[in-house]
Amino acid sequence: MQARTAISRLNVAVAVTDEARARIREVAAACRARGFEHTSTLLEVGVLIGSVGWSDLRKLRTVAGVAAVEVERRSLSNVYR
Amino acid sequence: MDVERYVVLLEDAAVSSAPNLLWRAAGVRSAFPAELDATALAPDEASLLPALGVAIARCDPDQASALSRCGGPVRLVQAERRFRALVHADESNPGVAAAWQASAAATVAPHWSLPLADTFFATWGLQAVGALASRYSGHGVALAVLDTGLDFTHPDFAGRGVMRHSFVAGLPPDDETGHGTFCAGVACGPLQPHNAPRYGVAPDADLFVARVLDAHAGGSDADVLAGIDWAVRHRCAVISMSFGNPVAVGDSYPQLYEAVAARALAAGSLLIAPAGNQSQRPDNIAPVEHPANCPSIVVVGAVDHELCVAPFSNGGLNPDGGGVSLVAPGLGIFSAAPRPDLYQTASGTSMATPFVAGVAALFAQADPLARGAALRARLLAACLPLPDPARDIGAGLVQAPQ
Repeated sequence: MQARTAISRLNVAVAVTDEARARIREVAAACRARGFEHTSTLLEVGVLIGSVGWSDLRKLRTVAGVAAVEVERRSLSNVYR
Repeated sequence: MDVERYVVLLEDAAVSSAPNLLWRAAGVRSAFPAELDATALAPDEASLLPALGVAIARCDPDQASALSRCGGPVRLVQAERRFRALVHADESNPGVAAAWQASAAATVAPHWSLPLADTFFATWGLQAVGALASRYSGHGVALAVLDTGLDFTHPDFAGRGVMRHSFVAGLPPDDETGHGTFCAGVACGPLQPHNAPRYGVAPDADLFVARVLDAHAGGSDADVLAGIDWAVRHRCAVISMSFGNPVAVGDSYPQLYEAVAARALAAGSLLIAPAGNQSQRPDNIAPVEHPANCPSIVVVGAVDHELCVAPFSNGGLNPDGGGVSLVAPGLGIFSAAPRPDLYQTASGTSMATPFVAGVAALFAQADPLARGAALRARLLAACLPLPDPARDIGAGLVQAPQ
């Protein structure tokens, strides 16, 4: 249970569908209504940035106008060592 | 004086007058292939290839120099390159050898003698991609480097108008790790560096620096995506992203990143990312990593000084975008470093990626209408085939437009 608590909130990126890009703010509002804490909107690429409770992640994927939800991961530079 | 073979690139309209020109300027007697075999040229002889607008001349450097000073109908004179790897391919794979010969004649790349080496004038990587002979410099093309930032006080970048922004909370766009300064240097370092050979592919490109990686050269999706969004908003034709993280064999590409890359492409911004460095060839080949494994992103593998796949360079093991698009120099690469060092040498597909970004900027300058998917098509069509399998090199070695 302790591990679950430690990752109870996940940083996520939400891509909206091509059709919904013109109404991305409506999609963001619908996401917020399902527990999404919205921190920024990337209009050029149609993505919402924020976080969501572990238990709300699946609900976020069902929001109309959402194409994909990715839980954040870290990238590293590609220097060969 | 040594007699070598030179490739003379002529203006289209000058082919018919080339025999007279070659004779008057350099004392070289010429003929068309039906009369004179280019492979058996004697000193002071040239073979004309009218379909390509090219003459192959066997002469000494003074004669070549005289030809290059002609100007006008003579666009370029280059010592013929030698390609040792394809000597083997010539025996085992005539198709590859023929493709290389056609490409060599068409691209008129610099003199090659493998292994390639840094010279007083330029790094081996610039020689390999044909940047030195290109008449393009990236002028008027916006190129974004998403990385650890840049040392804006570096003498090779000081005074250059660089758009900058940091998406990493609490950190300025100034680079303290060196990775971003290195990559920006390869993509668009200056024509005449402060105290070093030339190392930048597109010296006149408009540089946009977005810091998306922290002091450990790691970055979150949120910052990376914000950097892409910023670069697309600023209409950057090329976005260089020298980072990623490993995936497993059988993994599919991330749908979110593919949507983002496709939208960037549609908006005229081409994303370029490294294949990754997890391979230990020849025994272990790792798959192209995330986010390069998206179909809409150009995937860059690395080659060494002999134009063989670098031992660490990942391969195209996964379907649906998991292939390598092309390769660029990635071993022992010299470029800029933050002060006080000023310069450094490094290896990796991180280092190969900005070569492709720089060459893409040259293509973007050559054709202002070539953006997004059209720019990607230009890049891939111009690649030089190499003997290694397509799984590892894609279309081949990236080549600058001439």
